[in-house]
Amino acid sequence: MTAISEATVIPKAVDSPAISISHVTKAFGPTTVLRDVSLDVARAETVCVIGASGSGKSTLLRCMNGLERPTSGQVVVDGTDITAKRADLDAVRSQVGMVFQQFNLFPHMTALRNVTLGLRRVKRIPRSEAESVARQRLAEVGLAEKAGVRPAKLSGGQQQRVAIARALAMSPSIMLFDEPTSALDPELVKGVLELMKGLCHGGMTVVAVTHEMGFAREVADRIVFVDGGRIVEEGTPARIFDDPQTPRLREFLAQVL
Amino acid sequence: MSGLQNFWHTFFDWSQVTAILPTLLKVGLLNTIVLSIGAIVLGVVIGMILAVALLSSRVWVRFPARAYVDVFRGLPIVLTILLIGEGLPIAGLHPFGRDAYPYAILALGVVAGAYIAEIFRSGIQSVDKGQLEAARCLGMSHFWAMATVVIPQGVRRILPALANQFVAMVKDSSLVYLLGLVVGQRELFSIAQDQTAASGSLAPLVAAGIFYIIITVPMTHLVNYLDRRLREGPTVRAAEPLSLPMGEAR
Repeated sequence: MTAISEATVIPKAVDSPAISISHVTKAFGPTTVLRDVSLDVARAETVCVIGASGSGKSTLLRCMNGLERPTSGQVVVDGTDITAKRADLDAVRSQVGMVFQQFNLFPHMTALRNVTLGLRRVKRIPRSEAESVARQRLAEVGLAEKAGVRPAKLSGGQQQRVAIARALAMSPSIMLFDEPTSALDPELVKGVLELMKGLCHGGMTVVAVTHEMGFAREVADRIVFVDGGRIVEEGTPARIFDDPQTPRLREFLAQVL
Repeated sequence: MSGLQNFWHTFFDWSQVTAILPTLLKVGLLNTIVLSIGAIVLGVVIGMILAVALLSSRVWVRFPARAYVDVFRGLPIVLTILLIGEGLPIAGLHPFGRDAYPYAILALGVVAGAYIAEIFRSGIQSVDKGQLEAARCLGMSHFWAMATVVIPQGVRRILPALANQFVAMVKDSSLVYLLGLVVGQRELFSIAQDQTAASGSLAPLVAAGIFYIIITVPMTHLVNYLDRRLREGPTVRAAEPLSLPMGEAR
């Protein structure tokens, strides 16, 4: 069922943000990971989230598709308040692609079945049609010939590209990337980043948590620097990288650049 | 020398074996298999439901399941068989009438469910959390994500443990002799036990033992074979059939 109760639907204006996070706080037990964070992501915008490990940037991303439920505050994705009690998270998630640091491909399925699973089980597309969509997506990530191969037989870079194909097969309007290249050998990073660049330039709404500063500078419309569970600074790549305002960001950049 | 002869005569008296062999084959083997399969099916269904309950985030779901598992794993199986097989009818509950056979299956299944629940739980928990997350991120419901992604992976890892459990259940089915089954319902051990009581020779029990080995050894090897195929096979279709028992269990 994809019916969403009336109360949770906020009228969609053309210029309404794709993702709107307001005053989100997230605590795991006694540890507060996000503190009163607010962030809007416009449609077709590319936002890169940077920050030290443990700063809360991954948790922030995971709040955007309900993998984490905020302790307080509101998250609205594509007009749906996903923090509402009766929110239809499944319907929202089928519109929001997510790519993980550890790929999280399904090891007991071939690359093709990894990509068709959502099409068949969620979108209820018949098998033959789902497979043709999946083959096309695999071709787009350069892995057409790996359709029948299981993840264990693929390199990390190939696995991540299958994971991207799996997310894209659902035709999402938003893509979330959680450090997609952090687990890759350096020589495999480029292929994945090229794919992501294509998406950013193709009008997809993209939020990426990343340590790839070169990538962030090149493709991001906006960069968000998270530290201690707060958004400390945000702005265009030029502003963030060339004119950091806070000592914390200057410190961070000094370490990673 | 006479010691060895006595030993041989007590355990391997061929005349005793040939006397009991037809009954073991025609009645005992069938009943042991029926009891075991009945208990395995019931145990798997109970175990699957309990495993899901054990993993629930809600205390009022988790607690009763935990109590069930602890109690039935903690009690001697003999006692559980008596409690269910003798106790239910004495308490005035006759869900299956006076026939001891279904009570025997129920008792074996109830105990097996407790062990199988823990096996399933550990299997499901051994699957990386990211697998469930990735499936949910595609928009799959918790149920479908478990049925197509998590459980098929978990089940593979627990096949050897499950096989051990099934083998144990075939052997434990011998304990239902305590319930005093009528002639046509006797399984391998009761038949042998009666013959032993009548003759004083232990050879009938040895003969029954050989039948247990005939059942259990191929089981172990079948599971090992399946286990290998699931690991190496190029096109595994385990996801669909495995989702079925889950669907019924809910």
